[in-house]
Amino acid sequence: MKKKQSKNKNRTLSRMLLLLFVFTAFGFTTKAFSQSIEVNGTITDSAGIPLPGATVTLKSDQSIGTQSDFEGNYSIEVPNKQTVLVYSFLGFLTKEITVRNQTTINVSLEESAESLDEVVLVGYGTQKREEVTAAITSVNVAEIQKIPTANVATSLQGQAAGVNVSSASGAPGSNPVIRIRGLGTIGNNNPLFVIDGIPGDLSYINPADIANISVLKDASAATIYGSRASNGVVIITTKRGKTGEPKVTINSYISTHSVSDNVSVANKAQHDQIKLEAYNNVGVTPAPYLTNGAQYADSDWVGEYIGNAFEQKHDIGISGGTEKMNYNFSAGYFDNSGTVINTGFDRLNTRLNMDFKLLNDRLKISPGLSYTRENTRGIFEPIGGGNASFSPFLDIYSQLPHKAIYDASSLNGFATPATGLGSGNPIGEGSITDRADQDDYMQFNISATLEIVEGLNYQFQYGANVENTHFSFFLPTYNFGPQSTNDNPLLDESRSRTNEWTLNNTLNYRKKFGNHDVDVLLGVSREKSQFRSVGGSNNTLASDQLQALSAGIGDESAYGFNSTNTLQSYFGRINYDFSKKYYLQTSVRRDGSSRFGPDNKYGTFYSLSLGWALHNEEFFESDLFSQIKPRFSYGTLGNQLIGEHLFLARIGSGGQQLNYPFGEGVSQNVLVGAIANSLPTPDIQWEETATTNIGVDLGLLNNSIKATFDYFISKTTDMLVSVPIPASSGITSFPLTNGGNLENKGWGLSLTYNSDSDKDFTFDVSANISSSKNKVTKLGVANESFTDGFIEFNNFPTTRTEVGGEIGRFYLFEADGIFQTQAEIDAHGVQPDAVPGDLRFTDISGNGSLGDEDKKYMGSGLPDFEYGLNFNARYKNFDASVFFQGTQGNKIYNGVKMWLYRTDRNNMSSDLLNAWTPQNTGSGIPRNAFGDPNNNIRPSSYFLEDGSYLRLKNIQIGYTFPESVTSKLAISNARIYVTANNLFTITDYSGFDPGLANGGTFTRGVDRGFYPLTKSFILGVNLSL
Amino acid sequence: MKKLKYIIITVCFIGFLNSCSDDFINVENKEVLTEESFWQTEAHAMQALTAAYGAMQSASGSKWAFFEEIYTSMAYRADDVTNNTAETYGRSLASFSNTTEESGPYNVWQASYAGIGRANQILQQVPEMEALSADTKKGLVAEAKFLRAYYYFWLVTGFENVPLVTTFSGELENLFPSQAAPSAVWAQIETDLSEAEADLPTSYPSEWKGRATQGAAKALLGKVYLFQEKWGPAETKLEEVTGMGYALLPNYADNFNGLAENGSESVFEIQFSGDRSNGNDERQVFNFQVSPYAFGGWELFYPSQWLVDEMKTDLDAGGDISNRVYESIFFDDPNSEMYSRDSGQNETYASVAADLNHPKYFKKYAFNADENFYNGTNISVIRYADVLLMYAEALNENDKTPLAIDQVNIVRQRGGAEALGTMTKDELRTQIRHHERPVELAMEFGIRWFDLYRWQRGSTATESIKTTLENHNKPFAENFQDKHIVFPIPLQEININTNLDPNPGW
Repeated sequence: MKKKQSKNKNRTLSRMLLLLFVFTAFGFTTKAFSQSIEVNGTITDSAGIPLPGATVTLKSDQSIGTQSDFEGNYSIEVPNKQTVLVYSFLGFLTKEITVRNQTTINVSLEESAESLDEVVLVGYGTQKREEVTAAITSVNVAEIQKIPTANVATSLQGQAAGVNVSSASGAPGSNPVIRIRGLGTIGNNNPLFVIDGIPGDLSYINPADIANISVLKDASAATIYGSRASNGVVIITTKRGKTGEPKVTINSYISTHSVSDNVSVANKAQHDQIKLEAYNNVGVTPAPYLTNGAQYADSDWVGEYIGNAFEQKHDIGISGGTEKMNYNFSAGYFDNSGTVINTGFDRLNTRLNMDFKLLNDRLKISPGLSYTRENTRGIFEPIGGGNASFSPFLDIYSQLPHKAIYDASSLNGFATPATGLGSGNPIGEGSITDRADQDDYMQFNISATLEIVEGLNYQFQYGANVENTHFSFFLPTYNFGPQSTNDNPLLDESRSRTNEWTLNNTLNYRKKFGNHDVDVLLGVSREKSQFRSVGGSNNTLASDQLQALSAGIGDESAYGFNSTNTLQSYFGRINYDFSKKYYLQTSVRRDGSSRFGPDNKYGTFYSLSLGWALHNEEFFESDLFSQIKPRFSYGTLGNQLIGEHLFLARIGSGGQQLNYPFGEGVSQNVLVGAIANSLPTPDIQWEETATTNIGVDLGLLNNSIKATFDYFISKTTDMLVSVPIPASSGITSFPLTNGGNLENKGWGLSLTYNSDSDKDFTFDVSANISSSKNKVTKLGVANESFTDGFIEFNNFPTTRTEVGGEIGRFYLFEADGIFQTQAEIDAHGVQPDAVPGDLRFTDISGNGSLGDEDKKYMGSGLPDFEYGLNFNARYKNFDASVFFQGTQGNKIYNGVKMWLYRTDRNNMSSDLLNAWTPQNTGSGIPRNAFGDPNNNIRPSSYFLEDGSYLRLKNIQIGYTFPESVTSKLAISNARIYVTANNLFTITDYSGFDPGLANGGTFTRGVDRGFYPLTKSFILGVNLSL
Repeated sequence: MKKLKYIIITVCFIGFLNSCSDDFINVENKEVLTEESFWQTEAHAMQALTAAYGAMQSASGSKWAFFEEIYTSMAYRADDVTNNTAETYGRSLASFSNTTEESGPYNVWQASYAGIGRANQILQQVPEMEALSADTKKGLVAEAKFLRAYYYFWLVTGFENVPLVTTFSGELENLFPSQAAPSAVWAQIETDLSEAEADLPTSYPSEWKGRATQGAAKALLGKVYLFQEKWGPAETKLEEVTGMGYALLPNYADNFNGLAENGSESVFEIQFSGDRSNGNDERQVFNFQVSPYAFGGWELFYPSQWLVDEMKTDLDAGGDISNRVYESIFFDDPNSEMYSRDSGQNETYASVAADLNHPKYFKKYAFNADENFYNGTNISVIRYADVLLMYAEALNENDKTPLAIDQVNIVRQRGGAEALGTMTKDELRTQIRHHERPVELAMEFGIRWFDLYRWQRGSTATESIKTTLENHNKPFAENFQDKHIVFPIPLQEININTNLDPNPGW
């Protein structure tokens, strides 16, 4: 098809090779028919790319057939015009075509992620979809690769039932939070990622390199990964070469990002009006800047801090091979300039995967190499639990508009606040600070598969991941007022190296005895991860131009860490099916971990699953149902995601916690303190999750409609959590031990519809919806409860976790409107400092005073259900897709609003212009009162909002150029597309974005002001040469 | 087939040889110090002791937690301090509207027990250490006992009903104590201090200044007796302190500017340092918190109007306001000056009045003696002037009023105030309570509120705290209820330890 003229020689050679191939390797027979017809043609995928090695057989006798050559061409002799030819290729929908009068039949096969003959990745191998009895979701990779993003996890959002992907922050390069089937534990909830058979870090993988993704959701699927599988497993394989001439693909896009800023802060005039009202309302003399402020600036801090960003991504792939050697090479570049000043992220990826076939194809050796470099210029954000740090966004929102941002006469161009306006210039500090991460990630994999005898394969797999990080933080001198001053240039630099390797040895035996199909896997595995880091700082560099520690002349410090963990495992699995009707799978894994003490090193996990392919029964007759397959599974899984050596009695040393100065003078020596400040947990052992899964796979109308439903109950025991212990113990960090039990229930449903693929207009729809609910059934030593979700340092907790309820429920006062009269306040009787215009809080306990007993539970940040809806259509050369995604029933505590409704800080929300006054009694906003005597900002339902949303995550329109055009340009396929991401969101949430704030287990839904998600418009091109 | 056999053997060899030994999952600890390697040398014992002192700066060692949570919790309920209501730290404590979840008292609780836990470890481990001489052990044990007593003093005067933990246990089940009777806690404090006093040295070499001395133990014990109205033992103990060579600094201001740290007037101080080497952060931040916005400060709190009015009556022989008042507050007065962080020099009130956000400020600890940005001025826990005033109180209650007046006058005259003439016992008691102690010791760490607390509970009480607060125009005094006399037992702790009962009324 392409470059035909110049390739004739090669083509002859390849044909000869192919013939050899066909006759020797695949055992199809060709047969001369007396009145035979020769049919020729080309087999391609839906994008027109030739499919080498696709099979063409006679429907009447499937032992007669041929395969397409390197360029997708085939030729077959058929007995007569009524012959039906069957075209099939792994991973594509099989097609049947009656010959009639045609002698040339060009066939385009549709890729299918969910077809019955689809191959599904499972632990240490693959299975056909029809054999699967566990809860496994194969992600439609073609679909997710349509979403222009640098992060695989981001593109998984809304694509698979039970896979919850949400953002902690919208910062470029930040990693989304992935939860499979909700929260399975109070401890670490991160799933295990297995990349080409080796556990690794998904965030470094270029989405364009991915060939397949499977999500193992239940115990039966995941037990084979026993130890780290309790939060689910995401298995990924990267693209490998297919036999054929070098095929070049180029994918590029450019996009612009913008932030829809819906948090409105006061300008100078509004600020003065609100603040003066607030002072007057409590009879306090206003601060001088409010009354003598004509000379001050009127700055738009938010506008200067956030702008539009530019993003681009370019990927090139070259793949091909001979029948003995295949290769796939790819390289990619991604760059996002960041919507916030001095932020950005870029990444370079390259990957080479090769496959060699030796010993008459009985030995296959597959090396893979990849290298990723990421540069991140980020900001610090308070993601996670515990004491809240202050978000840079809150800092920006609350800047006084009176302060000038820029000052051309200053050395660095930024203004020092005028007298009386306090201190700080966060835009100045953010701009001149040099905060950079540079991380390298390398993967070296090799696997060798040897067919020992027919059906018996041995596989050796070794993978090494090396992660090298470098962080540098440089602060030049500046003076933006008190506590915002840096007298001397400061440099802090650190490097770390993580060396991980995994060695797997597996034996696999598959044999069919009549109707009995048996597949046995046995294996051993070892993993080791070593982390070492070193860092240093110097608080006085000789000048702002020097950025080397050795140029430091001030106080210096050095630090470093060194830890290792290992895992040793034995595992086995048996799959059995009887005449494609009854399926049984059982697996077992025994893991030993260095993280546990001598008596508790090993944990054993097992599972059993059953499936019944009802539609394959002889008695089954249905025009409607083409597939009915109920499934059941039960199994146990482990979790060991904890730190090292917790079972030892550790002594803490150094740092501001334990150090103390002695001696004479104001800068006396600081001595290092050391003492036990944690507790040993010598009996710490594996966390275990037992999961029961009941599911059914349905196919309707010849599988044009498919549905999968799963219901699960999981019980996690001996959760590895930091057990809250009384402070009276003298211990300042909660000991991490097996301190709780949790139950989790939920369901997931996915539906797909594919229209008939023969027409000009084709479309498919897929939808998924899932739900999970957790309940803590035991916590700590004595069922202690604890609070989190702090909005300010150690203060304003908003969530509470206790036995009998969900993890991290909102626990708040109930705001019940605004007092209109003193009589109402007197009648209420529990708020002595209130005056008309203040919030009324319910005395829930009815004890005549307002205290902590009057808080109540008000839902959590975890949705009741979440969903995704994908619609794809194709008309001739045009294609379109729309992807909606949403959550329902999750709550968000609007910490940003809480901050900006305070008149005692710096700037505030412009909403307060409409605050309650005796003239404006209809307002829902409490009166402006400096010092907030009624404590209107206490954590209450007033700031709790419904976080449900429906978002048009992605909409795309593409056009594929017709062959008449592309052939002239010597390209085989060309497509251009335009896309919009996050085009609109329907939500009642009044904060920045309902899709954020999902960082911490106990602080889920607590919006402390995060880097906003962006709306983006993308123009892209896909080319194949 | 023979070839195949070899292949199989090789495969099994490679596969299983590596994977059968548990050595692989026994990883040597190369990162953390453990109990086994610790408690060996004198240096280890000193490190443990250092950590036990460190808890005075909060359980996490965060200096912000100390100044914004612990200090404010202890100070804001008193009548000498008015908080800046723009700041939330301790705001609801100051307006007597806090809930049991208020973070400040929890920080006091956490710091005290962190210190007690560390002291208990020393008391358990040090006597068993072979590398230490008997004398060294005695000294270290005495210091640990002093610290344990001081932390229990925080607890019993702050919360009253607290668990009495005197051993360190790593067993989870043992970590859920019930509360002890306050009398048992007081008894433990007295025992610890009496034992510490006997074994503590009277001073340390220069590089160890700041550690607890015999004088510190005696002075704290004297204070403990005062809290229990044990006037006789209090007089005896405090009198012993007066014979130990302590002396008031000639210049009152030197107590707060870092120039006489651990000096002759210092009995016990919490040490802070401006040393920033090796990432150290041991700074003192009062200088920001008391300074006006206009001087680059944060003005977290101010002197109350009552205090300013009372101070204006503290006069020298010429009828002018005394030196100690000028060194304590910055107020609308022609002679009032204050060090400005911004300008690095003293500014007169008149020259900056127009820029000030508030009419009056504290100036104790406002001076930054360090050249760098971290101020390392220590803060006083007990200084000799306090000892003399406490001694005077004990003498007065023991009907030795003239001798008591002599002690008060030593303090007054150093501060530039005219000596008191004769007074009756009751007059002197009122003078000490509502003038001498608040004027001399205004805003100092852990003083005024706890004075009010002890005076209103004993047999010598003349009025309730609420009356005092109302008479002194404390904002929100009308919200004060009896329950506010003590902190609530922190909800955070009750949530975890269900053996604890809330404090009465909370």
